[in-house]
Amino acid sequence: MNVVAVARFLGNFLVAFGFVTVLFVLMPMFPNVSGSTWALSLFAAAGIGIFVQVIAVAGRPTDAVSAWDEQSKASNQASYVFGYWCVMAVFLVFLLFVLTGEMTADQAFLWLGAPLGIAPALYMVVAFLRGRAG
Amino acid sequence: MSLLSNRLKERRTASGLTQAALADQVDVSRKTINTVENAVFIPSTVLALKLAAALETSVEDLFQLTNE
Repeated sequence: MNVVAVARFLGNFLVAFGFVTVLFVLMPMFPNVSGSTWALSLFAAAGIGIFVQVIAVAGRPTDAVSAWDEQSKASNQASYVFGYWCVMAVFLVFLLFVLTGEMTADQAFLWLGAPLGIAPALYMVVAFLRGRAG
Repeated sequence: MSLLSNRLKERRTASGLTQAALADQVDVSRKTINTVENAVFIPSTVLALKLAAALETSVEDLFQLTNE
């Protein structure tokens, strides 16, 4: 088992599904908690993911070589392309919402950060499960 | 359909190597060896050369263009 690849998977899983959990489970359960608190919690989840990967690389440096082989790098690059198109699609939807008054521009700007961070992480989670990333 | 077919699995098993052992020799993950064998992932020139060297054969013996 490649410890670095698993740590990377866990980090991406934490970010991708942490957002889903916050949005669809925690926010409805705790409506009085501010959006900035949830945003900070997601940043903290990302920070934990990064920390776990650093520890994994430090503990098993030889695993890092194969965890970042050319197939993993290709998947990582593809995740950014996927993220770009996701954000483009979400931007167009938010633009429509702003123009029709359903959303303010400030809200749209802040919420656009979510797919920007989540989409690549989600892609890498799926890539790992399909055997395309470490 | 992949542009490339290969005899990687055939040559690897003939050499008595597992996917993991071959992966260790060429510094990639076992999953990459698996996806290359299944023609899901096309290796770079460098990786193809490393695989050929590890299996003591030529790149042309390992990989062939398919006729589409």
